[in-house]
Amino acid sequence: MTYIPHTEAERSEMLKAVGVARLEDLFAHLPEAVRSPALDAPPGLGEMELSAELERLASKNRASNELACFLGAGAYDHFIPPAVMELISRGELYTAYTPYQPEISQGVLQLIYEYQTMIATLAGCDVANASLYDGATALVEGVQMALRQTGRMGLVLADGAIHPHYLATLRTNLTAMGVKLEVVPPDGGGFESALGALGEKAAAAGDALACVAVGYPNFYGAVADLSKFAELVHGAGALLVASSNPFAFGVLKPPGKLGADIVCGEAQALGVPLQYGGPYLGYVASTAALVRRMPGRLVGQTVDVQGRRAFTLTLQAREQHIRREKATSNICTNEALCAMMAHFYMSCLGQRGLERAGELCLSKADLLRRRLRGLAGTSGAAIKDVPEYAAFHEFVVETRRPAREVLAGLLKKKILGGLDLGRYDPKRAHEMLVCVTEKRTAAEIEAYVEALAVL
Amino acid sequence: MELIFEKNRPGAPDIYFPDETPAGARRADEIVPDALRRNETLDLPSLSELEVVRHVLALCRRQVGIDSTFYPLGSCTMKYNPKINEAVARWPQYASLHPLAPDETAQGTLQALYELERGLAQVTGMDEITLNPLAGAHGELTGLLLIKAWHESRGDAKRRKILVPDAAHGTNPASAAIVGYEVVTIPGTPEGLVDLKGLEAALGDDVAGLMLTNPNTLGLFERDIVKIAKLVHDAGGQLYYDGANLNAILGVARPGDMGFDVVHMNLHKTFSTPHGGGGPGAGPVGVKKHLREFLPIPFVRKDGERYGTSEERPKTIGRIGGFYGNANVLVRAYTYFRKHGRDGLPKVGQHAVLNAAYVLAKLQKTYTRPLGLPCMHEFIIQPTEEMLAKGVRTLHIAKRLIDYGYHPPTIYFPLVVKEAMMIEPTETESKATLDGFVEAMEKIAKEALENPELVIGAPHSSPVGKVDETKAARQLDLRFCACE
Repeated sequence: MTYIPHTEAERSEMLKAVGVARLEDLFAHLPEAVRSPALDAPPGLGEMELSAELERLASKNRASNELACFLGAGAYDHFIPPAVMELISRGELYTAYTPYQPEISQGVLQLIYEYQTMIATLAGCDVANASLYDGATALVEGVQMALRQTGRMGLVLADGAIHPHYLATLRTNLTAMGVKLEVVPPDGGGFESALGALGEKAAAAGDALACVAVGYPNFYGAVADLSKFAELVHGAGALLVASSNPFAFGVLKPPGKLGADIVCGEAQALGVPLQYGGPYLGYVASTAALVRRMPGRLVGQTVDVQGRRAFTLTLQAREQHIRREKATSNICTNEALCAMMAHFYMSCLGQRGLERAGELCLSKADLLRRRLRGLAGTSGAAIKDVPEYAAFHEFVVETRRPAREVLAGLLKKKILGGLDLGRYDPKRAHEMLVCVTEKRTAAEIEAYVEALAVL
Repeated sequence: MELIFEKNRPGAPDIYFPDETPAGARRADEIVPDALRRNETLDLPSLSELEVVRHVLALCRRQVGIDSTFYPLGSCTMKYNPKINEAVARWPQYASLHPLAPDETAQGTLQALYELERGLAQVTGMDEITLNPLAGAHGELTGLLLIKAWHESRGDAKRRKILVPDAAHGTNPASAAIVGYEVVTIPGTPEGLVDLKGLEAALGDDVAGLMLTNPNTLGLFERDIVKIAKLVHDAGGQLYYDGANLNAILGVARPGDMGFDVVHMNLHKTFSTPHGGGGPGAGPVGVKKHLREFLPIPFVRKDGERYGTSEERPKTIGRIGGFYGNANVLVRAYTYFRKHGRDGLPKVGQHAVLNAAYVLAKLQKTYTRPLGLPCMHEFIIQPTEEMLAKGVRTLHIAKRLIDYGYHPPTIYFPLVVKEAMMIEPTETESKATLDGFVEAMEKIAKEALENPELVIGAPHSSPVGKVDETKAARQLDLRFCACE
């Protein structure tokens, strides 16, 4: 079964026009040695059977439509207005290519320009690009901007409380580039970014240091005022890169307003479904001074021949299809469709909605946190302690039994309870990371508390 | 058209969230220290949902996709994006699955990913697949990291060069540079193929590998591919397959059998997942056995009837992204794979070539065909000398196509062919559509000679006319600012 529309008669006529007898003859110039053997694959299906087959597979998943999701750690279960999915289903948008032909691509171009505006304002920066792959690769691109801008290829310092997957991705790339990466974990097994230790190392690094990358909010949900730290980093001649969830900036002061030069990260929380980790939405925003170091596509406003407002891809001389090996990045395909989803999400919610969603996250996370803290130490409860630190909508809970077992118990009660931190560090096997978004109901929060009281 | 910010009505009511603080909870301002609270307004629009919907639909009228019109964009494989792919990917069981959810709650998705891996290995003739790369260029980066890791594992640290044909996609050299390789361009023959003598001269013990597309970026099959593979391997190098043009040979010939060591695929081309106005894509990478141990993490494994994720790969190049690839793009590709199956996939390659050969057979009567070898899934034509003498260039013809309701082909690529128009119809277009396009091209050819100004001034019917790109770059305006 295929989507090839040809009738038998049309095929014959076309073959005749080409001057061959059979389809196979179109490949007569290929050497015999490279011809494909018969494929070892199942037979094709009509859409009726196909749909049933995919439904059968789907029924083996138990997703957040079925489980109460208190799991975050870089992927967040927020309410997405149905209008977002409705709008993104427009064929003009999702079946379009990159808008290289501006005359017939004003729709996507204007949407991306508007998206750039929204992300820049949210991050507290001057400019933002048209999107990157995801949060992990956005950190890599953000750091590469700093490497190029400073011309310092000796050292990158990173906060150990950045998402471990992002740090791992950064390590993969910097290793290939021959740039040293030093990761500084939180002090004493805690959860707040070690700004003190990072600052000391930055001051001592001399001319080698290109940038310091910090998480804000960090992997453990912690937030701290970066402004003094930013001054210190700048004093060392380096740039400050903040790896951030922009959803938080409806209520929190964004890193761009706290002195960060480059703000990058994962914007999935802005209207993109969880979808098992992708496609997500990497973003990067920066000061105007860094715009020519930006990776990937940028949409700019201009005019057409009649002087009417128009939009086009611009500064393409930075990009791979023009600059080849001298490009600022190899990125080509980005996540434009997810950027448009984020646009629709932010447009529907507006400033008030985004603030309100952020406030509800804070209130509900704080509520669960305090309730769980109340349980700590009570007999029979699974909780040992709930450490205190300023956090957005995620926090760490210390458990009596291994977190893995506690989470398995919660799953039996249809609660996706959080992330076992032992996954990344055996010393943290009795710690779990819990996230509460605005979507979690009072009943779900209550069920969580009740479950942990007896686990 | 107005920007959404210019339609702003501050104070428009929110319809999504309750106003009250939840029972027993503190207010946000009681939780966050004042120094960390945003206390500035945002340039976010404040509108009703209906106003937002109308804004977006007005913009849709200024945009074309494959769903709107024939889109023969060479090298981009703009085939039909089947609607069932989209429907499946939106089912909550796939769309609402958390990437860090326990494996036991993700069995359906993991099975789909596992079977897609097996399917892609079959189609490419490779031994192992990683689904991690998030786009084609990301696949290139991954493949080059694998090649680098392999050379280093053999204690061979002197290989600093990657060879790239002069007609290659720009991502090839850009990816090689990021991995720290020096890029060496090798020339092509007048026929449009790799120059074997030039290749031999460039090969040596400092060359890590050769990156190649096949069919190449001129739409021609490298008939000496087996010899090329031998030359590269004999010199100790690795052969990299850029999957940009895989659609031409889908189910017909396999890169693995040609001697390639690493392959990346663009599922947003060959496997019908939507281009999304510039992404998301998915760029899985396939390798031969000797490179398997270096593949990125995580990966899916099968244990009896259970599927699980694993990071146990001691020699891995590491992680290359946040989670496990663009999973919901992969679910769409899996849907496409199951739809076609073993019998359908070869038909895709065959008809992709038939459609291209058919349009070329018609158009070579009115346009110049610079290359004589048989075309594969795409081909290059140029304006004739007579058209050029009238001042009509490729850009003008492309823009005039817009007036006839078509998306233009890829133009001025590859750079090695002057005034190139690269046309790739794909297999999902009917003969009637192709005939209509040919007819429009013939009319434009006539106009170019009889009324060149009409063509040169095109487009005449688009929402905006030719755009001032110089102004865009010189007077940089990348965001709206309410302050003006």
